[in-house]
Amino acid sequence: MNKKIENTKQEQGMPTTSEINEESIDSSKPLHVRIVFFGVIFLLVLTTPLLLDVFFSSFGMWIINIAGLDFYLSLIIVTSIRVLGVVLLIMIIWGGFLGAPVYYRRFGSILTKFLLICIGLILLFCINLAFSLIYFFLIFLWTPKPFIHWPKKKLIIYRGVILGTLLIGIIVESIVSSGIIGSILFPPTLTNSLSNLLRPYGLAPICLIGLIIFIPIYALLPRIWRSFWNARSRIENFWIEYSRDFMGIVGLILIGSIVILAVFAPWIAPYHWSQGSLNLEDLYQPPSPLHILGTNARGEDIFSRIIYGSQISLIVGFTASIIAVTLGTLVGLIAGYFGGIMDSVLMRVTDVFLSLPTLPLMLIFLQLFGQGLHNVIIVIAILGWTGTARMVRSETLSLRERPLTEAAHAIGAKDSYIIVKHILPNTLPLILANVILGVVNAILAEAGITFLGFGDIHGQPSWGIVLHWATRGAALVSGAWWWFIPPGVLILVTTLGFAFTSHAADKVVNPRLRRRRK
Amino acid sequence: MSHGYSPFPDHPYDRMHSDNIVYYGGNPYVLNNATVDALIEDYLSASPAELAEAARLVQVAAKYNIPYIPLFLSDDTHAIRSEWTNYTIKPGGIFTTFNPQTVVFMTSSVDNSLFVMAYSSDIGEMNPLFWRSERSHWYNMLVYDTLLSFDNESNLIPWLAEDYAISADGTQINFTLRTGAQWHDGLPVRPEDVEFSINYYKNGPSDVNDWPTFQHITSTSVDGQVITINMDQTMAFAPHIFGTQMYVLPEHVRDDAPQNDARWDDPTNGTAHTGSGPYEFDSRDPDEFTLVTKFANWWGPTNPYVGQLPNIDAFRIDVVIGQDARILAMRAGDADSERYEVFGAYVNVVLNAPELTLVTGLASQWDYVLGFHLNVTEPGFPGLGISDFRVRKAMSHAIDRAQLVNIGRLGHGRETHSIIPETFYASLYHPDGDFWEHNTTIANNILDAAGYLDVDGDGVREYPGVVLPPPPPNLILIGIAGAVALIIGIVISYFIFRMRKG
Amino acid sequence: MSEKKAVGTRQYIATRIVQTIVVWFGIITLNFFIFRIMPGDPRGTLIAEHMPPEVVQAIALRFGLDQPIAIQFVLYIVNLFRGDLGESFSHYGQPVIETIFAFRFWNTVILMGTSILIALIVAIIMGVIAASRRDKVIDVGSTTVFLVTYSMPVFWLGLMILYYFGFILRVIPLAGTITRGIVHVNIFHYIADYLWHMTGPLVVLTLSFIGGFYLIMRDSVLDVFTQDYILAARAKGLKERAILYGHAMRNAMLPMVSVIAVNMPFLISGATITETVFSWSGLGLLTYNSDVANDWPVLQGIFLFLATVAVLSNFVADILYLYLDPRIRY
Repeated sequence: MNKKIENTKQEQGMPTTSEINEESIDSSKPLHVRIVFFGVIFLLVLTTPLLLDVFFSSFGMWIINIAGLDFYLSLIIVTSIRVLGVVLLIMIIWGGFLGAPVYYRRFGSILTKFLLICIGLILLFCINLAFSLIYFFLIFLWTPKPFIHWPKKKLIIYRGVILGTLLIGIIVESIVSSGIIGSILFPPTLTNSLSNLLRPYGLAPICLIGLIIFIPIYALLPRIWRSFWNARSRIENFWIEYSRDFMGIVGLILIGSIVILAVFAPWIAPYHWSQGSLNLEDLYQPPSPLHILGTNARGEDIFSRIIYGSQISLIVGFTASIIAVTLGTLVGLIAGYFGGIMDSVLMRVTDVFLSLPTLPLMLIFLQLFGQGLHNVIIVIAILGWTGTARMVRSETLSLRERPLTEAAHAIGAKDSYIIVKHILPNTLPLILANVILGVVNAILAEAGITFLGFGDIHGQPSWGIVLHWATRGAALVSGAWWWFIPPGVLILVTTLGFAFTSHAADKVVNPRLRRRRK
Repeated sequence: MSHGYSPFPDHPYDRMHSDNIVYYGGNPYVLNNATVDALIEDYLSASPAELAEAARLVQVAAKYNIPYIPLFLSDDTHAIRSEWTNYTIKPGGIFTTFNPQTVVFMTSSVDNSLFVMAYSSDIGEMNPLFWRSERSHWYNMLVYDTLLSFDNESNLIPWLAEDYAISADGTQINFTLRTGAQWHDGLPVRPEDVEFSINYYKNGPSDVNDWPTFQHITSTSVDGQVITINMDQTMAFAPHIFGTQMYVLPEHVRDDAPQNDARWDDPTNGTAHTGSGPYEFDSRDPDEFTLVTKFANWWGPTNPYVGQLPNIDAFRIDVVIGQDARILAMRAGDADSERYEVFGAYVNVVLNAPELTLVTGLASQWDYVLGFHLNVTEPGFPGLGISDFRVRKAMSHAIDRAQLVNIGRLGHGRETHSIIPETFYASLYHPDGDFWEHNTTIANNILDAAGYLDVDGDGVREYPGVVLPPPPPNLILIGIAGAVALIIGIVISYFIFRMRKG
Repeated sequence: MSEKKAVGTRQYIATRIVQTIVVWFGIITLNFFIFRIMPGDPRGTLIAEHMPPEVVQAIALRFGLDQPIAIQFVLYIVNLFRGDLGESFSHYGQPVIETIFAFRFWNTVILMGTSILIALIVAIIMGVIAASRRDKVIDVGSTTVFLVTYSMPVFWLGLMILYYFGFILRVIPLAGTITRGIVHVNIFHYIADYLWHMTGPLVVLTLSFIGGFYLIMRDSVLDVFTQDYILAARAKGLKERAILYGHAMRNAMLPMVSVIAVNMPFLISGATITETVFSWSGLGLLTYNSDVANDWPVLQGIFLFLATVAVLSNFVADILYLYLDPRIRY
């Protein structure tokens, strides 16, 4: 399909995407533009496999836990899948460099099918039989071959009936069997995962099949890198505009220093954050050369805890914001692009989320899920996506009406192709601005939640946790400014950095806010 | 975890009886032992003569089952403005619901006209039949009277009743009401009021406080000033419950409305809150304050245990939510004390504040223990770990309570060794029930003998029968695997693409 | 208004009404089930110290907590339409309606209303001034200041104000909405006392709202400046001031309508942390206390009320837009 479009373009004498980019490279660019550009590309290319690998190993360990395998065997499995993934990655790069990109062949669509099956297998083996049934239904029975000639209305009813039955079954089941009081209507098999059922027979390792999902994901990396490279003119133009803004530069410097603080925390901090003491004379110490900002109730060095705190605050800020914006983008794209009943349903769900008070709901969800760091991130993310969804939706609505999109439709391009190739790139600036602003909100929300004592207050501290212990340790009333001022100021500095950046980026991205040049 | 003590030790039933293994109940340790249950039932239904021995057996049973290890009672480190003196020092603290003496005797060197108590949240209920927290209970104690009270050793003393007597088998209690007591509206307190109150509690809805105990009452009668209660069984703490937990209520006010009528919680209805206590209800603004003023005709001066009217003219309960805000309010003079004791770093703040005094040398009612969930076992090791008595006994030997008090309470606490500790219940404590003494050598020997050995030498003991785990992953091996993957990838791709071209 | 537009509008409003009702029902259901799957047991709240299990079970019976969940849900819906939201657990036996509306609702509405109003007024004025003097000192300065207030952690600011202004300088009271225990001479005395107690939380909340409002206002004025009709007005030779207040400001107010609509729930929900810090007895504080105490009926009541307000205000904002913005056609 993709090839067809490229071909059409060439036949019509239109420049292909790569040609456009070739033209825009200009040899007389200032040095800092080049540095920033290559820096960004380098960072992106470096972080994507790293993130994938980190995600893969934690995910793999989770699945292996479910299967109940021992450590040694699981290490072998995870490593071998990783190796296979790397092998595939190299093959793809090699193939991409030597000839036409592999994705334009049948290979690409096989990859996608494979991915979908693997997701289903993971659901089936590890989470819940009922969910996986819904999932498989969605992929394979959404438009089954015999029904392909049905009128649209009939199809919708067919889908609705099956989906509704399953969903209601699951909801009723999970409520009724949740241990409150009531009778069990369904056999417990439906809410169980397959691995739980297989484990008594020693067949649990079968559920590791789902792990093969990571091999195709590795194979998708070069595609992502290619799109980074294709975006180079955008990145350069963005930076040229951005670097004119003083506030933006200040913001970047602020963020940069906090990031450096976080990355090099183990070398900057004089102690480890958990290195305490059980001697009474080491507790609640005021500042001294030994402890720059004194010690807390457990004799831990507050200065070191604050330095280490930057890691948690930044991780929560970035991850929560990225998850929220991804979720919001997906909802907004789907609602805006497909319209109709999909749009109504999704936007009403957004309304529901938008109308519930955030902080109390976060606290309730944390009580519900437990108070670990990842739960804090999830909670912030699932309550923070609504704004993005609305914005992306309205942007998508206007992009959908553009002639280019309609033309692509007319020549028979797939919906997914149009979304990925036309709509997503144009909403990207908006998404980026939302990510930055989302970081501000996420950091503030995390600080507020942990300040109230919800969250993992005994683990590695964030600034909110330091402040929580400061109030528990009577820092304010005993005038211990060294304990409660620095974390607050650091929160302020970090969020201010992001706010400045967002403000400056907004100016660049939103041409209406840009001054007309004379 | 921590528990709260009441002035009489009925907590073994809450904490150790199998009846209370419900997930919102008081036995989170899931101790389910028929012998212990039987001992506790004997204890609660002991006659006065049998009580001490029954208490000893319960303490010993706890020692040989260890559902939890008693650690320490925190000190009642109350912050109070320095001008206040002469509060009553009693186990549990100076501002407990069983310490009405403090509010009578406390006096200021500056101004006795008002005492402000800062609460962290508003009192929930004003109706004394339904208090659901010690906050509301404390307000009830100011406005209403109980028949009996406790002296500084937690023994029963006459209060609104002049005297009391228990029959030898413990099924009949006689309370003798004092003469000359008055309600806040000026009418006399009659023995019929007491009888009415008993039946008012008994016939109320089942969520009235102590309702189950009242159901054991078979009949009540009044003879002159004497009120007689007959019960269908012996209850060791019946005088405590009827005497100190039940508030005497005016029949002429309460008679015409049910126990849970909304009027009893209405802050605008002054007569609904008529009691006979040392203070009468004045005004209340929910979530802001509750004000009570001195009752000039209180019977206090005729009681040899009191002998005077309260010194303070008015009590006000203010709502100040944050601990910081309360300390600041006390330092600024907006409040005089607060409901709960200060802890942690706030102790030092109070000690350093010139306006404030820290009450010391007095056990609070908060009892800190190390509890075990006895039903949790490590998969593959049934009956071992926490559910293994030898492990709990070794832990009991290993605990250094003095160190815990020093670190956890900055020294403000006192060790407890029995589940009915001497500091709080001197009369029923027995040294036979003292937990295993602090001795780490014995603890180690027990674990060695039981087979909990440190197999891998990391300083943490393993379960019996655990063998050495496989060695940690070899980084070099992983590196080699990566390199091999790289080479294989290159070779395979080279051949595939060469073949394609060819 | 043409005949065609009128029909389209009517249809649009009808759809919006149906959607609003659907959303509202979604919220009710969600509202009920969120609290049923909470791990904490409300019976835990109802047991005070030393309460025997029989009493606890009796209490559970009284609140209907022994019923199967489906029956509880039906009861909840039925009672809802009778205007009965149940009884609070932690304010023992008090009807939820009374817990919410007796006085806490008013405390919150007054506090939040005033702070949102002040923030709006200041933000609109400063936004217009900044946009009209683009990139001058006043623009950069006010943007920087408001970005700082936008990024400020509210709870931290509140504590600092309480400590430095409340305790060290003694210019604002430490707790409550009125001076406790005094009898107010007259209504003016009461109002003055109330306002004085409101200073601390008011400052904190205004600062927390103002940044966002300002940025939106400034952006939308700048946005309007690039529109063709402003260029046309300039070309006609209209004075800059007349353009600013006559055309730009009026049109730039449009996005503010949706901003106000989105902020309506906050007007009611209150600021949990700020109210806690200043012991301000409003709905935010009630939410926090009920959350800590597992007081489901109150939380359900608050959420339901908030959701209703939010859904209604969104609906009203959409309809308002229809009439305010001539470009919208349905």
